[in-house]
Amino acid sequence: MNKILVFLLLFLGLCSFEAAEPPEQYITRQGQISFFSYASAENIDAQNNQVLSILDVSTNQIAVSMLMNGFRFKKSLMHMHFNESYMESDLYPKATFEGRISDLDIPLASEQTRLIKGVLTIRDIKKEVDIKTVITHVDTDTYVLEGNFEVSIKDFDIKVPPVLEPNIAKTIAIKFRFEYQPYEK
Amino acid sequence: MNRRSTYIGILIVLLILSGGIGYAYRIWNQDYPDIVKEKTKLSIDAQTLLEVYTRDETMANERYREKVIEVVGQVRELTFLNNRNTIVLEGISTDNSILCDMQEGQYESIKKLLPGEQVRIKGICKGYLKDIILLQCILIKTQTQRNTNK
Repeated sequence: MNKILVFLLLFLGLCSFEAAEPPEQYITRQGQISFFSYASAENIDAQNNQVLSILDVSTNQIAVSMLMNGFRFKKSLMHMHFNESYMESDLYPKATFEGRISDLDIPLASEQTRLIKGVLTIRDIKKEVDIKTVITHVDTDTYVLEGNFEVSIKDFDIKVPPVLEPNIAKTIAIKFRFEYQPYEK
Repeated sequence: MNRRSTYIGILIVLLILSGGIGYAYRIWNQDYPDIVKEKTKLSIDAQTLLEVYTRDETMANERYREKVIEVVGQVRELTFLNNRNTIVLEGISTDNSILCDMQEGQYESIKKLLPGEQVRIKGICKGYLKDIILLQCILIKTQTQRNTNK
């Protein structure tokens, strides 16, 4: 009985040894995306801390998905306006991004600045974007992607009533930070 | 007599105006509702909620999205990424879970939670990506599970 157990353990040990190759897919379920709107009447900023993203280091592909009603504002009225009047989150609950990191060298020796070319989908409207990102390989298991870019509200057909134009910026600054861990399915 | 009624009239108008401004100001600066005071609409356990969401997301959203719900589940881990306090509840598989983003001031009550402990959490259901997301959560109660069967 004991011998079988030892054998089994050894076998399991061997299996895990063989699987020690670095994983190809990395995931974050708690990525952070913030946006800032600097306008003459007021500044608005909000964060979403539950952004999902998967990074495949064998194909350099990256996918991002987030819930629009998951943004947290300073005031609940802003939250309400954002979801009801501007984003129409009931109709379009998610925003997504799919892209490819160009010229990524894996394994990463140190910090690299790279361009992600991809398609950003907000309110079911697709837009091609290039996003600059800094990629760091923190330790063997962790990749961090950080960066910022801008989107124009016109591109996504977000309508602002004329009286509120001084309150909402025409281009919104977006900042992101994703900390990826190996994806174990 | 006539002048007196004009004064009273002006006074009333002023009162109404200031009340209106005060009210508008309050609405404008309104904070997020305190979950402690909000009434729970639905109670469900973590696994069932995930099953409902994985089976039919649209229907699940109709039932749970933006509602104050209570979820009973097992703690998988605590995370403190991005300066947020999050309790991750076990899902159906390792690939899904319920992410409970805690309301401010919850750190003291959650910091001692251990993986495997059973908890009841109240929060607003936001929807589903790979995990179900609950925001503004508070810990309602803890119940240590006794693993007698292991």
